[in-house]
Amino acid sequence: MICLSGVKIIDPANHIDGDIGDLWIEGDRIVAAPPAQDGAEMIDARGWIAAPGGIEIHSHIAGAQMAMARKFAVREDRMDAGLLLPPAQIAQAYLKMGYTTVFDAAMSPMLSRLTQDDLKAMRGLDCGAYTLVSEQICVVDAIKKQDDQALKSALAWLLTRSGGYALKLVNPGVGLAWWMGKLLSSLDDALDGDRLTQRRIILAIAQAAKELSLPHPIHLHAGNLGRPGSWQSFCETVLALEGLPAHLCHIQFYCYGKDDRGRSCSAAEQVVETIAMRDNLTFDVGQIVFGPAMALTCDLQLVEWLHRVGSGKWTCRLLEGEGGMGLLPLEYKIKDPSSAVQWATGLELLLRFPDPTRLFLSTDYPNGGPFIAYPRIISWLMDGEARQKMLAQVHPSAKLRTSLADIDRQYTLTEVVQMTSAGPARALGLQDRGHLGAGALADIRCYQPQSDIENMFANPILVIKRGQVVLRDGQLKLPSSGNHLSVEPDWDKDREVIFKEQLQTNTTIDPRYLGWLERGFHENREVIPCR
Amino acid sequence: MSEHCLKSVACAFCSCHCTDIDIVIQDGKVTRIYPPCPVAEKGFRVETDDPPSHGSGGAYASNAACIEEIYRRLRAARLPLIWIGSGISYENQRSAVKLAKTLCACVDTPASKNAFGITRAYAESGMHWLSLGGLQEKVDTLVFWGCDLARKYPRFWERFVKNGRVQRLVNVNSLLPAADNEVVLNLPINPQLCLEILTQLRLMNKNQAVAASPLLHALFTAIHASRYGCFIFDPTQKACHPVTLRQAFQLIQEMNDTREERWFGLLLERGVNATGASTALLLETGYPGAVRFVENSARFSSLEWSAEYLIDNEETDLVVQVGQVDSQIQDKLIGKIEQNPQKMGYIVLDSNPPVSAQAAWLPVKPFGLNSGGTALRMDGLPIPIRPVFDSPGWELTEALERLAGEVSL
Ligand code: SF4
Ligand SMILES: [Zn+2]
Repeated sequence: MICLSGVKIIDPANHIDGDIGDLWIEGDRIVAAPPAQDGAEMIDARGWIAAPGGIEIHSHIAGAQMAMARKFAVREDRMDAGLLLPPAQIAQAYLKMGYTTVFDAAMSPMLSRLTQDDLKAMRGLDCGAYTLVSEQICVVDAIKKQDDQALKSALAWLLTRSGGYALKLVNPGVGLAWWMGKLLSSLDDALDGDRLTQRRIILAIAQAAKELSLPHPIHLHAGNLGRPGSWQSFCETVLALEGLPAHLCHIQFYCYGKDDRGRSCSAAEQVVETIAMRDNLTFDVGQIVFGPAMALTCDLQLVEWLHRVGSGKWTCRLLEGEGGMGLLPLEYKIKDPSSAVQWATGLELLLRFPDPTRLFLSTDYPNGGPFIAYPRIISWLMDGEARQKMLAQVHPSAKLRTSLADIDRQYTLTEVVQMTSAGPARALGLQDRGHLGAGALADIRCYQPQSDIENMFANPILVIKRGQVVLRDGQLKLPSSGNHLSVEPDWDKDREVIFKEQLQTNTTIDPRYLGWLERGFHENREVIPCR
Repeated sequence: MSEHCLKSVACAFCSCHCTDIDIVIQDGKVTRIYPPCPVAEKGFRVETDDPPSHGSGGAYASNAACIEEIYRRLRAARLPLIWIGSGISYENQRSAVKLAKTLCACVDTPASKNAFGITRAYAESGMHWLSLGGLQEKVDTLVFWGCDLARKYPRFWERFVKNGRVQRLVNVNSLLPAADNEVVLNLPINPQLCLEILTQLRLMNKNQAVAASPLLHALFTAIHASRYGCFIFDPTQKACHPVTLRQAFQLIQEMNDTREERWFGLLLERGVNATGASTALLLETGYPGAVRFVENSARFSSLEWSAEYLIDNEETDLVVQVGQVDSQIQDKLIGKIEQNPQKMGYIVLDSNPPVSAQAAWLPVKPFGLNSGGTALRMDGLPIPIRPVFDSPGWELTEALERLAGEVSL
């Protein structure tokens, strides 16, 4: 038994906002103060702040596309500024920041074995991955036929067999369109005759996810990412969901209008207006930070567009029966007008959005930059002065084309915990984390309060993962392993034969040899119940 | 005589990783496979009698004693080198890298020199890959750029090309299966000239006038008659030197930028990357070859830490070979090791007995026959390989785990 005594507790989910108290840990759980306390390891935590461990809702950390990105970033002398770390180091970097649960945002079912292998190598973290479903043959087929039962089963089949946690949709239909040599530009573009559209794909999968009672609703990467004027189509996508629950990811990239010269300018205000009151939705920001980054996405159209407008080299990989993925190295530069606008727009969005339990911190790693920049981003949110100082350094377009300069709001510590822990836990349907109540998983981060906010968040004084001290005084001590989080929705098992047949006819893969159909994936498999 | 047949077995013996092989087993041996494939026959017909329990270099009483001895030598070594070969599962390749990490050793693959060049070419030019199913479904023009298909991937043609949409074949200095005479354009180009030809193609693609030979013109026309096209490269061939590949990747990128058609490339990595050794290295270290671990982090230098350099300069005192290494590559380095038995130890963890009589050998079950795991198909798709027989003996996984466990104590 461990006791953190005299600690200042920030536990927004339980409405505790800075009360001084003791936190008791038994095994891997937080417990109520026991009557007999002898033998407990007492940690004098007076002066410290304790918060639930950080939860990463959207980051690309594992699998074939990361392997490809590492290849793409190979240099003789360095890995791109520590941007694309090997799996074990990714886990360590997260733990060092007090993050204890991390989700990979895009797992191809066909290549899921590779993603799962990487997750396994991330010792110490609880991990999960979202299964890419929007271009899958069985899914598209069921939507075309308007067969809701088949669709539900297809989604559940892909999820369970790939060991996924949630359903990921990436600019749905983009893979199909790309193969047909078409551009997908709106929700209602016809993809196949006039019956299949992005709107129908999104709606059908969102509905099915709801009926499957998955702990996390659909995780949606919307269309037209990054384009000037994208805010309108983004808001249309929000409306197209018709009130169904969903998580929309890296939404900074959609907060753009066009100024009179056709340049990107912030439309964060308009976006916030549309999304703020829609309680069915949660979001993550996809904040950019200055420095090297890598566009890494299944939105091939996006990468190709980035290549054409910026003429940077790009690479892609097409995968039978699934669509594809693309990569393009990026660099966000402090003196570059569009980087500066993007940086400021992300912050503007975070500062305008009223509810940090619904808009979460992310850099869409590695798309917006490294996740180890979170402490710096937090410092810009909590400290208006630091923010203004930075704003003065970046290209003046940030001031001219966003309204960041006019915003005074400063995040409180509680709000930071909401956006990095309590909020994501709730959005992910993880009831045993994101808070510090009795029965919760003992995933805890402690900070020594200080005026240097970035340093405080970058260097927690203590991190506890599942009741084990993993970081103390800067020293990392890895626990043996973390859990692999997955779901097991109900589905009609008789349909598996049909799905396999569809695969067999449309790909070169014998369904008997799908990597993802046979292995137990992870010894520490934890199935999160459907709601 | 007991005879039985296993249907739809996955074949581990080239990176096509066919999953449609039927094999007949008699008295614990494979007597026939269907469809026939010379490479698979060789692989499946490996003697499956209990492997001998000691290496040719030293008589160990048992495998456990052998592990004990390897462990002792590993601990005594100043700078061990883990040399990861082919013919082992992807998981075991990753484990071998982890062992190197635990030992703060150097790690390399026989392919890394080339792999690094190719990775650099890729990193500098970008590339468009597609999976074999994509090839079959879409591609109408195939350009074989220096591939020894017939010998190394006997069924590639039958499985991924024949039933597809390919209408045009361009054969640049390749060896195709004899049965297929559909090649519309056969260009017996001297590998030395490949670079120049690609440069000319790039210029022609940019509409810049070049004094093109009729052959080159024909090549250009065939390439541009397509809607979806794919180059197939075999990096073990001279026509696919990394410098040449870089030009080729650039050509593909430029064609995609300037023209309506879509072009892709596919690297046949067998021999260079076998079942994915450089991928495993990259995943564990961030680099495609030759690294040295220093306190958990990998330092990369394709020169300084390469097996060739370390052995040549006697900077390593113990070479641990995991899996099989091509005999040509092996010969040179082994000669060097053998000259210096005092200075350099040599341990082999593989199913085949080592070439060198000096090596201490830990025989392990052969992958794809008595032992399973994941193999990466040439397009990167993971294919689970299952053992065909059960047999006594050590799994490589077990040996690697034992060693890593002992060392970290
Ligand atoms: S082509 Fe390769 S994978 Fe297919 S049967 Fe022959 S050796 Fe095996
Ligand atoms: Zn993402």
